Amino acid sequence: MSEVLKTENLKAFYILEYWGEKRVIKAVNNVNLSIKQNEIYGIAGESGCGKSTLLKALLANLDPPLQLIDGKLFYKTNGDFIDVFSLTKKEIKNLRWSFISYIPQGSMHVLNPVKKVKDSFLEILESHIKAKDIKEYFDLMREHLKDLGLSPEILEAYPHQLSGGMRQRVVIALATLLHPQVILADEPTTALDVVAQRAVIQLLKDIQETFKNTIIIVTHDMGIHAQLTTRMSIMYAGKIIEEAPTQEIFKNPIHPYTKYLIQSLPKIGEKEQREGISGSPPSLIYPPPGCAFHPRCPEAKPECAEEEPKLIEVSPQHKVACFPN
Amino acid sequence: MEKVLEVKNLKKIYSIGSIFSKVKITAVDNVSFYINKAETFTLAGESGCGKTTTAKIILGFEEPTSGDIIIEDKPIQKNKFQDFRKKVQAVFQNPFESFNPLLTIDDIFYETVFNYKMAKNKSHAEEIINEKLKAVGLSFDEINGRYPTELSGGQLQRASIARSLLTNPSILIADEPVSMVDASLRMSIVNLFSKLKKETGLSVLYITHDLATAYYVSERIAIMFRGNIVEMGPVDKVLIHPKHPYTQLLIESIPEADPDKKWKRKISIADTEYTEYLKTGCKFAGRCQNVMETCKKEEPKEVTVDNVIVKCHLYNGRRA
Repeated sequence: MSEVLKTENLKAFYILEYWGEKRVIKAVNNVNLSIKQNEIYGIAGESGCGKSTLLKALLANLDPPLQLIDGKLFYKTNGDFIDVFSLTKKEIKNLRWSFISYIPQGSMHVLNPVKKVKDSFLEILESHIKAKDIKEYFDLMREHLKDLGLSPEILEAYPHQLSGGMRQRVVIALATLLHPQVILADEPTTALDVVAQRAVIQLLKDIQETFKNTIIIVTHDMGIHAQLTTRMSIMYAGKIIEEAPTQEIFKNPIHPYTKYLIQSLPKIGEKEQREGISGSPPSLIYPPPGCAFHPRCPEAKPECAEEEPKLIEVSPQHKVACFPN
Repeated sequence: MEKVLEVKNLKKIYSIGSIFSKVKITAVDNVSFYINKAETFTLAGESGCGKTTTAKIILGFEEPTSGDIIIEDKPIQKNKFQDFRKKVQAVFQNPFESFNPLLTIDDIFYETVFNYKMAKNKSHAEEIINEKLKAVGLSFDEINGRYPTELSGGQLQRASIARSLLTNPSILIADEPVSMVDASLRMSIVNLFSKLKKETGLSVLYITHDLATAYYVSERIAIMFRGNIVEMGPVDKVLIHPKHPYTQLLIESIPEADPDKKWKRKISIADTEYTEYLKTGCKFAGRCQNVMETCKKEEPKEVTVDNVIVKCHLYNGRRA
């Protein structure tokens, strides 16, 4: 399968200055991704590990204090790779929504609260497609909602009138309106209850099956990765520490952090004591030397504190950044 | 067993809309439950099911339309509100929003201690604060002189629990205490509730939509749907052998961390919450797999099946 998006040694840091003192938050540190067509790629990790920043970088949405330090980002449109960071702002803007789109976290704050849902749809359509009259835009909207199995009545609603799960699905409908090839989703189900969450996942899955596009989804919930993704990676302190097909990650996790993420969650029917991971997430300003996970790692060895393990392929398609035992 | 909190026939009606199109929504509809000493009781359900409204009424933030709340065999007296607040404390969802960002955390702690006249002087107050922080696994140095933004979410949620323990409450109302906390820190907060229950006999009303942690920490559970408790009983019975179709749907919808176990059935959700609230009969009828004619007309009655209270027409023939 061919690639649709790739990064080379991507580095994006937040650079802050307090009273002349410079602080660098290494949120995305040397990330190499190669996303293929027609796959659902998951990125897991706890809050503050840089996963949302990675999505911002993939969208080429780097506004100060976030700065691109190094690396390249390529999109494949019409069979050619284009170097995104060399494009002008206007060219990037044209690619958004039509080639790559973004489903943000917290749908409550995405839709304009004083406008009806249809106005938000209209705004996107008008900025990308030239139509004869307004009726054509509305036909497009209705058709799209019908494709996704949503009722066209929601176009007439204000955001606050919809339930949380429905509102998130409206945002997904909005993000897929122009049938983009790549959809980035940042924690699309956080703050939703299990039933609404399931409806959202179901919709994303349906969209992927219908349009055969690529979804990159970021969430800390391993259950969602198991349900939805085909391939996934685990991020820790701005770096990818393990990457493999989802089946492989769950069957044969190698990195202690991945193992922990999978085992930590309680299940109904099991009451034995489960321990949270000790320590707190690492600081991205002063990451620990060596492997960033070593202060919390149950299997840490002396060399873990000195040398940083590289992300290497241990079996076909399975990469991990951890010293072998 | 001693009942710490009892809620009897609680009802809350909200009116929505302008004077021309007034709609009455029963956010909490005849809810009754009790919590024993040293027990964790879970109130679970999807967003907009009335669980937070119930918590707000218990905490005195909202006036109930009708119904009683009884704390340690005494109804709440309006003139002795501080005594009541001493016994009932709360932990909220987002620790960053529950602390004043302009005050240091130790200031907030001192304020609580002196407001409730728990200590005579500052050194005595520090002793109390230290004791409570120790119970949640923090030290005084970690919070002394620091602002809420300087702590991580997990630390801050622990601090928020320590603050609520300052008055030696008999019951803690925890409204989604772990939904904002990362998976890696979630278990440590949940374990903390179990530890406090064992060591100090604290009762907890745990409000959540996360049934897995609910099973893990609590003894009894009530499942709420659109203002009604549809199923209530011991967690081993309710969550392992769910009876109400809604409970079954909830349990089936938990994403399991196993790529081989994927959902098969497609589900539908309500467009708006109002439409379901306004339904006559069983509110779940619109989405229920086992829907019958009576469900749409008649509200189901509570029946006890196998030690579990269920509100569903499926079990109406069997009255125990």
